[in-house]
Amino acid sequence: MRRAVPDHWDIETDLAVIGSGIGGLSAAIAANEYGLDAVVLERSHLVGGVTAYSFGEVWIADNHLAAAAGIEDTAEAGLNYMRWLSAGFGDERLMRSQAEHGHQALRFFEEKAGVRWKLIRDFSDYFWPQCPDGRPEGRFIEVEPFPAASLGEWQERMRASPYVPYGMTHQDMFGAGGIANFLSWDFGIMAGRLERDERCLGPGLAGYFVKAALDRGIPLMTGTDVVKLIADDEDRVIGVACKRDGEDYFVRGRSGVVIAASGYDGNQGFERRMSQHLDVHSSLGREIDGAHLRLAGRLGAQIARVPDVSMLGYSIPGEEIEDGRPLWRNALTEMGLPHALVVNRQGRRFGDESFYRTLGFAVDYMDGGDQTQPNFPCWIIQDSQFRAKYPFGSIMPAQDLPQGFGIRADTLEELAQMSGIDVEGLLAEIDRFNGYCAQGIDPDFKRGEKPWAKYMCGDANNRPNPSLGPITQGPFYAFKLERVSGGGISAAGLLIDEYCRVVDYDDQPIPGLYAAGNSAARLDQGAGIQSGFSNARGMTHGWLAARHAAGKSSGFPA
Amino acid sequence: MIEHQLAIEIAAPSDRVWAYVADMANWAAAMPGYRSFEVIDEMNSRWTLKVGVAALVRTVNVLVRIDRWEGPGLVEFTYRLDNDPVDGAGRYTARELPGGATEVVLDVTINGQGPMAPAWEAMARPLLPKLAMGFAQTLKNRIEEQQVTQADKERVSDEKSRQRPAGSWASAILARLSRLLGMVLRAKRSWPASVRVFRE
Repeated sequence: MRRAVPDHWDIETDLAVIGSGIGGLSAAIAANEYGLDAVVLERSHLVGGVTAYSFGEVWIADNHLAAAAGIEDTAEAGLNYMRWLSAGFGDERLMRSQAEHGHQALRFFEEKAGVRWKLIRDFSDYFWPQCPDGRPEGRFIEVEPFPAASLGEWQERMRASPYVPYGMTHQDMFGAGGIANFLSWDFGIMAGRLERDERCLGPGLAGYFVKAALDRGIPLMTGTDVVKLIADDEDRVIGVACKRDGEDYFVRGRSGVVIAASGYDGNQGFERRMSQHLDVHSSLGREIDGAHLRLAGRLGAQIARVPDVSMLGYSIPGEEIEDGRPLWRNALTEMGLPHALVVNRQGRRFGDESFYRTLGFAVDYMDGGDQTQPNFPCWIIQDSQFRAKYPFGSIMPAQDLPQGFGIRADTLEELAQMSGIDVEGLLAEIDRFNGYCAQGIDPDFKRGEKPWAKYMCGDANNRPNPSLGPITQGPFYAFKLERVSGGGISAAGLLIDEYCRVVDYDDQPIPGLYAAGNSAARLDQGAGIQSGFSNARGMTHGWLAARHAAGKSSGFPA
Repeated sequence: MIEHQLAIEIAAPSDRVWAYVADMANWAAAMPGYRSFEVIDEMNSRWTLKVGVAALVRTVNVLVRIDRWEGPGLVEFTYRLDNDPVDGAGRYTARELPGGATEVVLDVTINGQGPMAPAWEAMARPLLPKLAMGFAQTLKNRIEEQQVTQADKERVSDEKSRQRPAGSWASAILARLSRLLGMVLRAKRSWPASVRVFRE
């Protein structure tokens, strides 16, 4: 069945690339640079993929931008950090490959694709200084604002993000106090950029790669849904079958096919069976539904999984994404701000609210004694000081809550009763928490101690601890949190080797088949995660896959 | 503050244009993303719209207040968003052109309020021309469709009257007059009370 080679090919190219995020576009651009023809096949009507939804961070150790800024780092230190992060669940070859090639890919796309990188200053690794090979700064990179008008007719066909303020760079936001101090931002800068349609963060990052692909004449075929991989009699992948305007459409990839179709956020079945996440609300479009697993699974591709956590989020009534579904926001920042905490139905805290990973693992914890998940459902509790000072998603400080969003009560007792939280438990927990706030130390969960958390989820102006502020002033608010997907970063994916070839259950590469970015299992980070790593590995994978397809690989593996 | 002006030509005489726009519900229904219209009182109404900014689609409630109602040539209004620090104003002017068409000019302003005002206005800047164009085009299409329908009815009516004895000319003229009168009365019924006071 899989060898159903068509009578004719509608297009013949060297490298057929599935997906127009950073993984797919990197593969296509690099292939073009190395002398191959490439075609990008995109299912939706917009290009940019999940990359364009992201914060646009690219995390790469030992990069030339840090070196130019006088920041010391080495690829070995980056690898050691990843080993530490992976907690034993990583694959040494893949971690080494990323550590040794990430900085090369970064420079390649600067020189060959015109991407204007910029170092994000004062932005530490998740686990610095806990991990000795972490760094206080130097590994986070973003792009300079991208002039979207330079895309011509593609300007309107470029995905934008409803989640990130893409008129601002990290420096603009965090240099002005971060999300907690939103009202201190220079909105004149944002206004100017929006007016000129200059995009920062993920939309900007995706924009540079789309522009580079267009400049090289690489066809970006939107509305093209790849439904099957086509292999020859020797099991070599030689092309794909697509649906385009309802018609069959066949694309030959003489040198192979790259799958860079992100994860499976939009597929509840995959989320439950492969990530063990129940009732997950997707923050992405319907097209992120695990196509990579369906396509490559038929050819015997090995699917691998790493330990992963639930994310927590909320939906504000009246907010939707393009396809009319509710917009789900990640509560990563709001959970860790002063005057807020997260409790379970017993009214008890269960993690460091300023670092979403600890909450995520705790949410997924199952009590083997009674088969329950005691930390879900859970609620974020705020007092009026929070509401007066901090934004909550798109709701500005002091702005009224939309009807039907959250529960408001004059007393904590009343709030607990209305929310279904144990009253005594909540009162005792808040009393204890308020005591910690006065001391500026959270002995239970070490909230606010991670420098990264201070930057992303705290208020630098809040003393003594950027994340600890008491819950004392009514009225009080409770918002039930739901599980939300990880922005295309799924627990399971296609197992690849160091050349980004997809491997089968005998650990042998499937000839002609590559995977990049979130479609590839996260064995290069194991049980850990580090923001900016997904964009970095997508770009590096695409580059490595194209090099291999073009016969340019040498040594390990570059 | 950002401003936008748009002029359109509608292939209908000004009294027919006014007969349509004199009902405020028709204004709301012509807005892109229209969801509902609610009369608060004779001067005020609430429009519920779904508005897309980049990839985000939001449902917004717009509170609209009529300030001047001097049809068929002039309407002025102010508005504010129910839960966002944004307000603004609008002006509708219409004049009949030779040949029975009507030129409608729309002037709309948007003001962001508070520290985020520049950002609100920046987001609204590319949106405003699209909303104004969408509104104007819908208005034009609906009025012109009615005009065609009305013309068809009149043609059928005229054909019938031609088949009637010559002695019925007077009744045909009376029928036309009564249609016109009905149209004017319908328009007046939808005027706010204060406008009626002003006009009467």
